[in-house]
Amino acid sequence: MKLEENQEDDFRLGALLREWQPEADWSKRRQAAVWDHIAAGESSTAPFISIWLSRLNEWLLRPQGAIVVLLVFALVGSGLGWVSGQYRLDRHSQTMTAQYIGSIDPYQMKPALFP
Amino acid sequence: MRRIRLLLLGGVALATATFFCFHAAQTRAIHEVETAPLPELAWLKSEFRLSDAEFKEVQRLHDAYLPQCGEMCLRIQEKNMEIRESLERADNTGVDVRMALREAALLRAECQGKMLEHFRRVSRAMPQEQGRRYFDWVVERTLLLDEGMPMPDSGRFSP
Repeated sequence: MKLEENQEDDFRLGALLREWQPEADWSKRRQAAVWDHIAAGESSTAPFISIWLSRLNEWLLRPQGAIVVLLVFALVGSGLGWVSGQYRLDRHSQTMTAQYIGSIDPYQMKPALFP
Repeated sequence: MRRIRLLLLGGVALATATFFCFHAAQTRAIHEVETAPLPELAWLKSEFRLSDAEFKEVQRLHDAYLPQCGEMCLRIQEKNMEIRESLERADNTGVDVRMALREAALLRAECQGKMLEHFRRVSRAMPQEQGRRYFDWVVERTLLLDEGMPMPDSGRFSP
């Protein structure tokens, strides 16, 4: 008896859910309001970036700002030059090691080195 | 804006200049070594910080050792050919091969003995600390060269 009542309730609930349609307001006025809201959100970050950029601009135009920037460039250039020189030195050292060992060890000597 | 562009351009120029300065300073020794008559010996001089007199002695020892080394090379080649021929012989019973292999091992021992003697002489021609460093360095790359068999302390043993 109770099972039959439950089945009847489920059937009614199913029918109600099928009939239900959300009534959203997708009118042009509503859409414009949504876009305005998004634009307002974006414009709130714009002043922050422009303030930050103008401060950076001012700082770079000052002598100490320019000196710091030039120092950073000089440091980056010298660091990269040092690393690249070190890499070339290591490669050269490996080549010279192989060449020296090849000249003194008959078991590693290249065939072209002897008649 | 124009001043900032100029500043950035100046920065890039400065970075390029410092890059080449540091690179050239680091690799100046390479140029000196490569223009020497025997680059490997010139490199040895700079690597083991030898004075001109020490380098002269090392060079003399090297020149005296080279003919011995060349002779050893020829003997090794001949022995290898002998082993190959005895392996390829149709009526091979294994006796010839074993004998040739034994001779090759004796030749290797003789050759390594001569190498060791040369390394000792060269290391003695260097300042004590550098001589010790040279000896360890050269022995590691010649006599103790790992040819596939892992050394007990090389850390390549599987646990």
